[in-house]
Amino acid sequence: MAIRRTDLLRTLATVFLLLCPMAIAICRISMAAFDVERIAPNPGYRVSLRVFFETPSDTVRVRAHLPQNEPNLILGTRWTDTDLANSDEVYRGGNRRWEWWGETEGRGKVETSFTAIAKNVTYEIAPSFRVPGSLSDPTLPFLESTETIQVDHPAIAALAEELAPRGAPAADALARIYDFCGGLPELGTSEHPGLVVAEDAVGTLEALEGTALGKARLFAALVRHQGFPARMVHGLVMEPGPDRNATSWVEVRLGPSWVPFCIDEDLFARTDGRLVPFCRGDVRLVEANPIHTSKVHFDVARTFGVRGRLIEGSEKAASSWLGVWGALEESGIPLNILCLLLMIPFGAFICVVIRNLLGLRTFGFFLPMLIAIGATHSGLPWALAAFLIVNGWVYLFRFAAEPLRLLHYPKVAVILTSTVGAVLGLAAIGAVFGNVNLAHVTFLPIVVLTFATEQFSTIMEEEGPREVLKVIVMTLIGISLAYFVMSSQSMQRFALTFPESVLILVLFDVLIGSWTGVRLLEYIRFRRLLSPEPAVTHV
Amino acid sequence: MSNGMTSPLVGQEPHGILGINRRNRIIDELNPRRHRPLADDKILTKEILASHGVPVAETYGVVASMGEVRRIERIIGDREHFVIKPARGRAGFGIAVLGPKQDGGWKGPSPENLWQERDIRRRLGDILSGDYARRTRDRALIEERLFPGSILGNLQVIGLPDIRIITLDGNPMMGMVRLPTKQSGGKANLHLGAIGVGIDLETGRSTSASSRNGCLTHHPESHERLAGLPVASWDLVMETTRAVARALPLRYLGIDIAIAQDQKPVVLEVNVRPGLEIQNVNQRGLRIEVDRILTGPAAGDNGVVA
Repeated sequence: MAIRRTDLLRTLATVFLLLCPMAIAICRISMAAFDVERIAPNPGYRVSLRVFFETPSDTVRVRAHLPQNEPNLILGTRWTDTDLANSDEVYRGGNRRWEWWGETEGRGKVETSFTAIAKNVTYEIAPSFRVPGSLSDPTLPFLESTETIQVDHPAIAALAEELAPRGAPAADALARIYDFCGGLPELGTSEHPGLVVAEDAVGTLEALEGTALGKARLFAALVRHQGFPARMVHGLVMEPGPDRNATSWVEVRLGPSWVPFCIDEDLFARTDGRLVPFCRGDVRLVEANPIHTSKVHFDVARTFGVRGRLIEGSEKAASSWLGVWGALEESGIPLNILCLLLMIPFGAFICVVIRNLLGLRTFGFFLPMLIAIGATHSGLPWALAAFLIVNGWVYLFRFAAEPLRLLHYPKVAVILTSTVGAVLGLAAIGAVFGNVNLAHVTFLPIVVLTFATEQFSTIMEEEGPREVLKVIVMTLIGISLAYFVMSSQSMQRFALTFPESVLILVLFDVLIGSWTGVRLLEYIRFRRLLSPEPAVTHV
Repeated sequence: MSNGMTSPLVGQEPHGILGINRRNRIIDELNPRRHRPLADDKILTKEILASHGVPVAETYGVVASMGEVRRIERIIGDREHFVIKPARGRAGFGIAVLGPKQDGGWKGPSPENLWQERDIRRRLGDILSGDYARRTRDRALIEERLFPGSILGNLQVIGLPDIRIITLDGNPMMGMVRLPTKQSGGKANLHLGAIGVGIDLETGRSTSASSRNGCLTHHPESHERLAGLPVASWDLVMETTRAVARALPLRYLGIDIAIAQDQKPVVLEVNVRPGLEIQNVNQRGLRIEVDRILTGPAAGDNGVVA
């Protein structure tokens, strides 16, 4: 039998698709002296602060403490959009405070965002450090008793002496104080908006429960009492998602270093690259004045440092693609869009695996990938919920529109319009309750979703509700798989480091496209044919 | 993959399952796209089959445009029974089986339903605008209504049961009888709950049966035994099957044949993408047979896929 031309072409394609990206990658790594870190972008976070206010007619003043470059924190260029005319920057007490002000009427906002790369640091507390003992010098700024950190309160003093006796090893003593504060039940301020919660050290100790701020203050009071200089830090935990809460932690001076202790995130004498300090001392993170109505949001999204300060100092090699990504970012293509673009071949590959290897049947071949893209902002549960809600809505609406007996495309246009209405409705409801996650997911794939429900009704009609249910479950699985791959930061980092790897994906697509074996789920579907007695062959 | 020495249509797995991936490849290579309309469009199929002397239901007329809807009166004439079908409908949707005449209308699909002429015109309009043909414009076929004979032994039937035979290069590979049930709404659609009865192609007798709920020995509604029954006019059915395969320039086919009241086979339609559930019904895989035909000396006219 002659070798088929198709086979020859496939072999050639396989060799090319395998060798080409590998050769390019090896070449580039060798140019970077075999240090992959030198061609990889640094993972970091995009932080946005948004302050909305409403005033009849007044001078509005918004003050916000913003992070500054420090040894363990590198910041990218900040970008601001505001309705207020003036701005100013002041340094006070080691903090950098921005102030925006102006005459304004009605609604307005201040929005500022920047990229932050926080380093991962773990401190080891030397055994030679001992507890200095109570109030070695109460006039020093980081040892003093304040209104909220009542170092000299008898209850604080008694507990501090008990947990950290003078001369005990500092590491053990700090651990005992940390465990005590961390062991108190959590009291969220957001869940009890009407409730006044004591957030000072003594209040937290007396209630034996507290907020993150209250526990941090209690921790500060206890360590200060035993002679460790300690200061409050207010900042943000880099947990991707919209509308993150600010948190507080404590830094304790041990030898030459300020060592962080974050009870809220369970970080004892370490940071994990997610703590970004905004300001230190007992100051407010954000203030709007006069506060008629103001809302403060912090949004956090994963990103990478590809230009400017974010790659300086780390000696990125010329053979990295960072120059290209940086140039694209400068010319107005946001890095997150670029990342998603690079993730699309991966998502498409996942869709191929889902269909041709696993045999999952999903609504719309690429729908799992598109929903997964929509979900990168809000997280997976919202994506699954949004998919179900919008799907249900379209199905109901289609049902309702059936008596109109419309021709196909005008009908789809009507349904699409109604879907837009539904998604906007979700967004509006979300905005009222301060959660637009649901709407976020469906903004992008709305058209595909509408067409997918088209398939939904076809399957309902031709194969019955049981099959529809199966397909819905499989679609949810597909969305989850695509999401885990596409939103994975290491995957994105890999793609930004080795964009030539898409050729390998094409190779995999070619291999799967040439493979004609039995799909995984077909083994279940035809399990009766796999039974021990050999299948009767018909000769 | 690119093995070079074997056709990718031939598999190596030990079991005999023909999966969707391989079926799609077979369809891709053996059923050329340009010829598929011959099977996808019932009007074209009937034309070509009739010209080869294959028995099909008598065509009363074709309505190809809205302007022609008016002709329906003349097409129906004073016929008691007829069927309206979308030429490119899927899975039996859009088909209206009408008759007998009653109070100036026709008895419709469900018992208490009486179709007037405007109902017929509306259905024709739906068909023409592509409601049943995946959004492409379509034609409507008005043809003879087939009354079922006894297809499998003396089994009682509802709806119009049919015989599905899969052929490759003119070789019948596997067959089943599809019995509509009350659950399937009288449709011969396994997904909707119709029963599939496997057939031994050599003897023309039923071997095994299953529905979407699993294996069956007896009919779940009439409780009659399903195995060991003879398929009516089996030799004629096989002859018809081969004639259909010869008439069409397509090499992998699912041929649907009904047994009419005179116990003669009539071809209902031909599928270029026949489903794989037939393997579960027969409790046997299709792949070994496919491999044998594609590589063996008994390969069809076009030889091995090479």
